Amino acid sequence: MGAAVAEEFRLFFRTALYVGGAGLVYWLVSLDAPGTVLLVALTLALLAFVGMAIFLAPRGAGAEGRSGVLGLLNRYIGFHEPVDAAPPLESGPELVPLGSAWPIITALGMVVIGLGLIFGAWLSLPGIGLVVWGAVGWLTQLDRMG
Amino acid sequence: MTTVEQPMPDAQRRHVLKHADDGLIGWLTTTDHKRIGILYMVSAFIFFLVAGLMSLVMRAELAIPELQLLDLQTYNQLFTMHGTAMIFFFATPMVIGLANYLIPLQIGAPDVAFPRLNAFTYWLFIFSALIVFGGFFVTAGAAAFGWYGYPPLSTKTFSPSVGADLWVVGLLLSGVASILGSVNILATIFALRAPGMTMFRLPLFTWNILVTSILILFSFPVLGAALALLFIDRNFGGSVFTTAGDPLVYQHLFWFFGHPEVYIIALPFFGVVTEIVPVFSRKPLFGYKAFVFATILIGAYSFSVWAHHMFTTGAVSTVYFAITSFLIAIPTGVKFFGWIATMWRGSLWFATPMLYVVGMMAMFLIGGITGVFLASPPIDYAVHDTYYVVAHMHYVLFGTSVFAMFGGLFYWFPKFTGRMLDERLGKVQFWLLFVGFNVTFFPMHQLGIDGMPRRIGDYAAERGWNDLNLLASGGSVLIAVAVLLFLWNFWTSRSLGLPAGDDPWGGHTLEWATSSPPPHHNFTSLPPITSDRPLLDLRVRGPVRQGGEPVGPSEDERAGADDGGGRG
Amino acid sequence: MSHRASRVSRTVLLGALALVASGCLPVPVTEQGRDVASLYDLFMIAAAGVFVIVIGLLAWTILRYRGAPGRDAQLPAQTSAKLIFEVVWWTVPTLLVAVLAVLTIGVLNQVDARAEEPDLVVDVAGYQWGWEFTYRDSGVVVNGTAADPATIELPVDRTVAFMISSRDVVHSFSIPNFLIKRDAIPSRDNRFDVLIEDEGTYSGQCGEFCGLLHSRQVFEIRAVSPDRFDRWLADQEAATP
Repeated sequence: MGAAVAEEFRLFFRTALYVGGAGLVYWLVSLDAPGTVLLVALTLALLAFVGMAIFLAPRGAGAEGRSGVLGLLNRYIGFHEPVDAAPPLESGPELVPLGSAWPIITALGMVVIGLGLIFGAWLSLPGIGLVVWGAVGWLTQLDRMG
Repeated sequence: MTTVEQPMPDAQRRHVLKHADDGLIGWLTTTDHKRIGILYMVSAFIFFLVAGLMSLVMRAELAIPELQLLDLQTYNQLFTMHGTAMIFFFATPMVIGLANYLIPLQIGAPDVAFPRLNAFTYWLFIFSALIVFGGFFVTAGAAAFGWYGYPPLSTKTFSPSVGADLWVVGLLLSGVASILGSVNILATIFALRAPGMTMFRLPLFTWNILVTSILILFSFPVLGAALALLFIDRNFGGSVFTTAGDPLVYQHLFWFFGHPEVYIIALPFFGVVTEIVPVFSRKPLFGYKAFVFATILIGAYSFSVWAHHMFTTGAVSTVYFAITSFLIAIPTGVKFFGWIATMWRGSLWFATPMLYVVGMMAMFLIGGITGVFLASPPIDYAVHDTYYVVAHMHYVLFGTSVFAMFGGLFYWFPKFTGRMLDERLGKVQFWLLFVGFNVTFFPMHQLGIDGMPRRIGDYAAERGWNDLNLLASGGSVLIAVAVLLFLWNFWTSRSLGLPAGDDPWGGHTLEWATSSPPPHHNFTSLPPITSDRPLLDLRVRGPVRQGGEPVGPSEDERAGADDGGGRG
Repeated sequence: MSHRASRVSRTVLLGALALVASGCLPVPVTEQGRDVASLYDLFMIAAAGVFVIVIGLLAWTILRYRGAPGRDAQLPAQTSAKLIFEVVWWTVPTLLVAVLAVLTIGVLNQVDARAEEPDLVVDVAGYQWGWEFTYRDSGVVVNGTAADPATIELPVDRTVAFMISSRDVVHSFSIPNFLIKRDAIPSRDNRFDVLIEDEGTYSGQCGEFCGLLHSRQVFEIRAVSPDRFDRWLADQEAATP
C-alpha cells in the first residue's frame, strides 16, 4: 500500500488505534462486556473511514518520505503534510444555495412522527405524509438548481 | 503565490444568487450558513436564558433551609430541565451555531457542503427542544429524573408522566439533528477548503470543531440507542433496563455518549480561546501542531473514560478508568501552556474578548484541577454526587465554555453584524460575571465536601450548609445582572454600535478578509494561504510586490519553525 | 520582576493558601476515611502548587507584556514554537499525573479492601424513600421512611461490612464523615467495609437522585463502644417480636 493517506483519514486511523488499544486493555482488566462491545464497535466504525481513505487515495502517490516502519507510521499516523500536496477532497465551482422550504417541512414531519410514538399511531400518519412531501420536494428542487 | 488576491473563479460568481428577502419567509426558508448560524446562536441563547432562569429559581429555593417557594416535584423538574436544556439546547447548538457561521469563512468556502441539510438540522433541533419543553404543559409535568435519566427511575413504573416520553423523543430527535449536523461540518471541512488551505493550515477553531464533529458522529448514536431502548422499555413492554434486565447497561451507554459530550461542549470553546489569544497577543500561535495533536488526543481519550462517572456503582474497573481519566490532564495542560506561551513576549491588548479568555483560563484551571481530584476513585467515593461535582461541572461548563462563549461573541459580533458591542459595558459585564460566578460556585466545593448531595430541593437547617448556600444564591443574582447587561449591550449595539469595518481586531484568519457581515457568497477574493494565519502573514510581510517575492521570512523558514514545535 | 508583579504573585500565593485551608474534608472517623483524607491532602498540595505556578505565570505574563490597544499597534517579534518548551510541558504533567495515579491506586486498594470475616455484617436496602438495616447474625431489623428516618448504632474498632442493595431504583448509600458512598442498584449487590474509630453521631443520606423525596431519604449512625453496642443490639433483639 504505497498510497498516501490524506490527513482527513489519518485522523480517524489514529483515533481507531487508540480506541482499539484501549478496548483490548479494557477487556483484559475488566472482562466487562458492555464497555468492550462499545469500544470494539467504535474501533470498527472508525476503521470504516480508514477503509474509505484507502479506497479514495490517489494510486501511486505518496511514495515520498522515509520507507520502512517509520515511513509507514508517518504515512498512516504521522503529523506531516507535504506542502500543497493535499488539495481538498473534491473541488470545483460551488453553488450558493437557493432558499428552500423543504427542510422545515421535513423536520416538522419527523417531529410529528415522534409525537405519534407517544400520543398514538394515528398522529404518525400526517407525519409520514409531511416527510414524504418534504423529501420529494427536496430532491426535485435539486434538479432545478443544477 | 505571487499575487495578494486570488479572484474568485467565474463559475462561482455566476451561481451567486440574489440574497433571500429579509422577511419571515426568508428566514424560515434560508439555507445560508450565516443565517442558520445566527438562528442557532440566538435560539441557543434563548434556551440559555430559560435554563438560567430555572437555576435562579432553584438558587432562590436553596438560599435558606427547608421548602419555601417550590414543592419537591417542581424542583426535581427544574433541575432536570435545567441540565437537559443547558447541555442539549444551549451548549451543543451554540457550538454548532458558531461552527456554522465560522467554518466556511475560516476555510474560504462559500457555504457548507449541504446547505439544505443544514437548515433541516436547525429546524429539527428547534422542534425537538420544543417537544422536551412541552413536558411542562402536560398534566404530570416535565421529566423529573435528572438530565441523565437513569433507569429504573426513568421507566414507566417510577416516572409515568408523558413529560418523560417527550423528553426521550425530543432528545432522540435532537441527537439525529446533531449527527446530521456533524456530517455536514465534516464534509465541509474535508471537501470545501480554499486552494492552499491544507489540513495543517486550518485555524485551530476549525480543528477543534473537526474533532468535535467526530465525537458527535460516534457518540450521539450511542445516546440514541440508549434512549430508543429506554423508550421501548417505557412504552412497548421492554425490560432492557428494568430490574429484570440490567439498569447498569444504560449507565454504560449513557456515559459512553456523556463523556465525549463534555468535550463536544468544551473543545470548540478551547478553539475559540485558541483563536482569540494569538490575535490579542499579536503573535502566531505557539506550537500549532502541538495544539492539533492535543486536540485529537483529548478527543480520542474522551472515548475511554466514560465510567469515571460510575465509580460508586462498584461495578467498573476503577483503576482503568482512573488512569485513562488522569491521562486527559496531559493534553489539556499542554493547551494551557501553549496559550500562556503565545501571550509570552506578545503585545497584549485587553479588549473584552481577551478579558473573557483570560477569565476562562483561570476558571478552567480550577475546573481542571478538581477534575483530577474526581478522577481519583477514593476521592470520588467521598464527593461523588455532591455539590463538589456541581461546582466542578460548572467550573468546566460555565467557567470555561460560557466565558469563552462570551469572549467569542464579543470577538465575532462585529463580523456577524458589522457593528461593535460596547466595550465598556462588556468589561463591566465581565467583572460582574467573574465575581458572580465565583461567589456562586466556589462555595459549592466546600458544600460538597461537607456532604451536601446534589439534586435536593430542601435540606435541614442543622446540617451546617446554610451560610454557603445563601452566599451561592447571592452570587447567582450577580450572574443574572451580568447576563441582562449583555442582553442590553446586544440589543442596543445591533443598530447603534460603532461601525466595525472588515477587521476591527487585526484578526489572523480568513473570516476577517471579507466584509462585515460577509456577502451571501462570503468572499469576493482570498489572500494567499500559506499558513494557519494568512492575514497576519500579510501584515508581517508587508505589501507583496507585483510578480516578486514576498518581503519577510519565506514560507519554508516559517514551516520549519512550526515543524520543530510539532515534533514535541 | 516588577514591583507590581511581585505584589500580585504574593496575593496569588496567599489566595492559594486560603484555598488549601478552606478546602478541608469533614473530619474522617473511619480507618478508611483517614486514608482518603490523607490522599486528598496530597492532591491538595499538588493542586495548590499547580495553581500557584500557572496563575503566577499567567499573571506575570499579563502584567509584563501589556501592549497598546488598537488593531494597528506595533507587532512584537513573531516568535514561534520552541521544541524545548514543548518537551517540558508534555513531560511535567505526565510525571505529575503518574505520581497521582500511583498514590491513588495505593489508597484505592485500602478503601476497597474487604475483610474476610468482618465482625459485623449489615444488610442495607434502599427504597423510595428510606433505608432498611438488617444485622445479619442477630436478625435485628431497623427501617425508616422519609418522615421517620432510621437511626442505627454501630460499634467502633470493629470491622463492619455493609451489603448494599436496592428494592426499586438506584440509590446511593452515603455517609459524609466516612468519606465513602456506594450505589444501591437493583439486581446487583454492593459492599464496602469500614472500621469506625471515633464515637459520635453521623448523618447519612441518599446520594443518587431517586425521585420525589430523594432529599429526605436520610438516616443516622451512632457509633458507640462495642459494649454499648452489644447492649443496644440485645435490646433491639428483645423488642423484636
